[in-house]
Amino acid sequence: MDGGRSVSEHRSDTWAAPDDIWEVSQLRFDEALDGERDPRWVDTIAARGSYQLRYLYRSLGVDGDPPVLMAAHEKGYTLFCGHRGCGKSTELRRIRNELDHPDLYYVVFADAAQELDVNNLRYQDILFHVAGKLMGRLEEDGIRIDREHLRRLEQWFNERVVLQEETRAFAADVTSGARVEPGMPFLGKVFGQISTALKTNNTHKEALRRTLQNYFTDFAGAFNHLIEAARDAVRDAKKGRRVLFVVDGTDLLRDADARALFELDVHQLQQVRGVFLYCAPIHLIYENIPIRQNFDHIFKLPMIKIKEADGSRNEPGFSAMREILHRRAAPGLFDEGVADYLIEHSGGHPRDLLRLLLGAFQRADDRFDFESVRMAVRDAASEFRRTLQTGDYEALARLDSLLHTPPHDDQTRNLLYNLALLEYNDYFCRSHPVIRTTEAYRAAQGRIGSAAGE
Amino acid sequence: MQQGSSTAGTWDLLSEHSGAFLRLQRLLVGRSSFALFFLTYSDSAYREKVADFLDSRLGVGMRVLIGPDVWSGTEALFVKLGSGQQTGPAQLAGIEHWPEGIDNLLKRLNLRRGALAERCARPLLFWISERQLDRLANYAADLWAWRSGVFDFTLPADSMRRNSISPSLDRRSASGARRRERVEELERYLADHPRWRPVDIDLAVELGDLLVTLGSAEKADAAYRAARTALREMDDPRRSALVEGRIADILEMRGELDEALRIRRDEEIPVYQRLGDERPVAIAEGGIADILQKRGDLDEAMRVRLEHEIPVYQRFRDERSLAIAKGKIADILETRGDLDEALRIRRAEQIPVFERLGEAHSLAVVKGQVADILYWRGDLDEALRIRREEQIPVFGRLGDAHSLAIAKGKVADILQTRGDLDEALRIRKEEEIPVLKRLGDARWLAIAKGQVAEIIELRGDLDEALRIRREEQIPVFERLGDIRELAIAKVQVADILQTRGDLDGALRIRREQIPVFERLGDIRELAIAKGQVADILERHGDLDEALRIRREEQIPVFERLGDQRALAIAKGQVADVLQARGDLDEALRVRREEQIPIFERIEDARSLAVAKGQVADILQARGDLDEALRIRREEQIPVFERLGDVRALVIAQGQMADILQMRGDLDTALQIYERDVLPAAHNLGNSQAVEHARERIDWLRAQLLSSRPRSRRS
Repeated sequence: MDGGRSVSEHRSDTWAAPDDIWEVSQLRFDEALDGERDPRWVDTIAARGSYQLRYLYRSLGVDGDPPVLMAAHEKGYTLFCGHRGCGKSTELRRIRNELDHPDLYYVVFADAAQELDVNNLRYQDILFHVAGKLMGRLEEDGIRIDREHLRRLEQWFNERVVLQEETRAFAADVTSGARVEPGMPFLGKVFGQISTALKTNNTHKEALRRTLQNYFTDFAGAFNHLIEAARDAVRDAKKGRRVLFVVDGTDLLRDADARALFELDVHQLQQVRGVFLYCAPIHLIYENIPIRQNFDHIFKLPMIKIKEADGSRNEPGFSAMREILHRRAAPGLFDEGVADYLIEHSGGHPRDLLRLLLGAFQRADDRFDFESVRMAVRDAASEFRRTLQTGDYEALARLDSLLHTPPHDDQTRNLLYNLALLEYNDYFCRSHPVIRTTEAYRAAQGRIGSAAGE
Repeated sequence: MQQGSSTAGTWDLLSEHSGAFLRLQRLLVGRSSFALFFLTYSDSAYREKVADFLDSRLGVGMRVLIGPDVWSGTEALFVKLGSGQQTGPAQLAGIEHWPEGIDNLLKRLNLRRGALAERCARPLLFWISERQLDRLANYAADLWAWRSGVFDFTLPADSMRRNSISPSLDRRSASGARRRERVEELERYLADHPRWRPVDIDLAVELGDLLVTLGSAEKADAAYRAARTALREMDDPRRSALVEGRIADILEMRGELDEALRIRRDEEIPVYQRLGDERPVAIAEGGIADILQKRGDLDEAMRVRLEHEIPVYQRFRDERSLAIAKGKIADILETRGDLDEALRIRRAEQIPVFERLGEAHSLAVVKGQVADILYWRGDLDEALRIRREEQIPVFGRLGDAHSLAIAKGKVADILQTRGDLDEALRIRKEEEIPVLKRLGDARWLAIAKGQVAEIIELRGDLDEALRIRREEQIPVFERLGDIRELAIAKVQVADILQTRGDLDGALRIRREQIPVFERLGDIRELAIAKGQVADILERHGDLDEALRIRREEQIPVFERLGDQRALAIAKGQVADVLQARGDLDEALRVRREEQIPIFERIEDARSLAVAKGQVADILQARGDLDEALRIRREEQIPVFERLGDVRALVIAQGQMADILQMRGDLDTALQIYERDVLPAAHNLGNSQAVEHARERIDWLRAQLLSSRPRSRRS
């Protein structure tokens, strides 16, 4: 999620949190941490309340400590959801790193946000892309697949792309130039070029999509064959026992695009017989669409729980947040009590914690004092004005008094979507603490109190 | 891409945006990787001005302006943002011109935020209107989630620039009553509007300024502090620093110089420096130099002016500020007794500038300062002419009642020195004090009353002088918290007690004031106060201790300050002690070799004449009556006549008559007392001098009568 220094520079054994405030200023919000490989990464699972990564692993047939692949599923489709900035991408990378093991999975990781055009993303794009990624990784690892197992895909390409009128030009582009060795190198090049065409809004994009749509069954069969062959090859190479596809970035899809991928076209996705873990937008699970029937498992990554529903402190959550903070800024940079103040106002939302830190940096001198963090909280509260309507403050004040899951109405969904309402995994929600510092909230709370008194 | 056009070293934007600029600048220091900053604006012309300013301060970066017919698709935009060799941040503007509509762009950027970050490998300053940003926060929430900050550069709405209160007063010309009315009006308004808008803060500052002129320093301080708190909340560090400067002014007046200095150094200057705004830095440095000057640290004050203040004004070709700063240098030189150079600066480097700028008020002020130097040098006629012809008419024409009253007070000073106490008193009572009362200027009013007390004291009415000091001066300075003026007034009370013979009372007060001057760091006043203690010890007969104080605690200070006049006076006082101890040779040597040359060098005609008179005193005591008489006749009396210093003239004439009498020329001595001394003492209203002259006349007449041969008939 952030990185002042480049990740390659990090070594956990030599890592020292910045103790100069100017180094802290280099926080970034556009990078996900690469799991435990990044020294700034903190294991937050225990801090997220009743959420357990174990449940997710079990759905993938993995259990035990150390983890063992207990049940080798041939196929499985799992959704991984979470609020914006709560650490989904970081968690997905951690899952990739943990499960990518000779006794577990051979993980093929794709980041749709980076590698595809999520502005206009269809199931075809994802399947073409993960096929290419699989071949790319196999090549990288020097794992060979007998050409026999690739013939179906080659045949599909020849028949459905090379020989078709509307894709012939694209095929000519792919096959021109330096001669490429047939088999995996050739197919790797083909799917790489298809991904590029799909990402860059190439003129061939729609034609390729139509081709896959029209001849999807053929493609799915060929791809399934490849997945099976890959499974055997990686097992022989002692790189893993099954192939697991992890697709990040698909949580960015909105409205019609998300519905198309996860609802309307889900049948196509599921014709590919593999184990897939997709990152999905959280609003899908709050809407009345049959998403739960379409996927085997849905996992929701909650906020880090720094407080219980009754307002008492949840120490594991607080400690995790403190660790997240102090891996970006050494404890010595904070005046007494200032770090806790920041954590309390983050609501257990890691990105917001770091944004508050950056906000405080803007006003601090050479260390973080109360005045600088107070102003950072005030700025953050002010930014919520952009997404909150007048009635939202009252709604938040009401929701804050609930000890159970809030109603799934439009207003609640919007508040969750805008992160004004944070959900914790013991099934309670609380308004973002910075909102609670506003006069509008306090006034709403007063009105509710008066009404209750009457 | 456009080149930045703003001038380095100046703050060209609205003060309201200083906080946003400083925060943005802080985040961008040393950052070369992608980070997303939203900059809100309401006026595209001002947006361009800010963009130019950012280029000039943050290093020239990429400027991408989306036009109505330029691109479709984000790819071309990313290419553009990824190109160029500039090291500064990229600025993206014109999103409203996106051919497929702004919603389309926001949606694309939301989905392709990763690509945006990857391709634009530098900080991106994303210009967007408030309304568009609200839209982005709701409909491009993922992009919004990547923000490193939002920085407001919108122009205040018209309504923010108005309030329902009448425009501010011209503090220079408004009467005290009018200013008090305005204070009430402002206090009412601010109390009725507890949630201050930026424009209300101007009113709070105006309130503070008015309260300062009305002598309510404590309330002014509270008004400034409230304004400062509000400005901090509004993220306007520039104006907050300017208000800090006013708080420092009050602290300086109260004698809390350390805190005033800390504010200038820690709260004011760093803000202007971070804003790259050199001019207010120079002004604040000037404020520091003022404090150092007050503390007597003249070398450091001079260094600050020469190194940190004046070069800035020179660079900006700011003739006016430069002339004012040069005037402060002249003040230092005056303190050191280098009146020639001070006069040269006033005449050659200040007056021509203000003439050229057509600044009549400043010109009149400097001319008054020239008159001060002439006054100190004893050229009372020219000083009086300048006051009357070149200063007073200007202030009258400009309607500056305050400056006019002060200038008239200066005329009274001259007349008082000349011995024209009646006219001096009339001016104070009729032309100075009523105006200061009307203007409500408590501080200057108290000072003027002190000067009245001085005249009354000279006339011998010590009780009334003491009453004025105690009842009309000291309580005012106490209320103002002006501990410097308070200490000076108390010292003047001690003077009166000393004249009355209450040496113990005087000594107690003088000793009490010593820690005050120490606290003020005012080594000059401290040395003077110690000298006054020495005066009393001398009267008590403790000559050794008096001499030690003069030599060890006074003279070294004046030498360090380079204050030639004070040094010469202190040397004269050493000679006085030596004289009292009977060491006439050494006393004469000190006068001739150490005191008189200084007065000659600084062309202080009056003091020179006085010192020569003291030489004559010694010669007279040693019996060298001829030389003593020559000095009185040729070197003292003509000078006092020329200066119009009637008081000194009367004394010198009396002394000359006494020498003549000692030489046996009783007729001439009697003639001098009858013709010159007695009428002049009458005119001065100096009853003691009249009494003394009458005694001398009676005695001389008696001597003459007894020395004449008796007639046969009698």
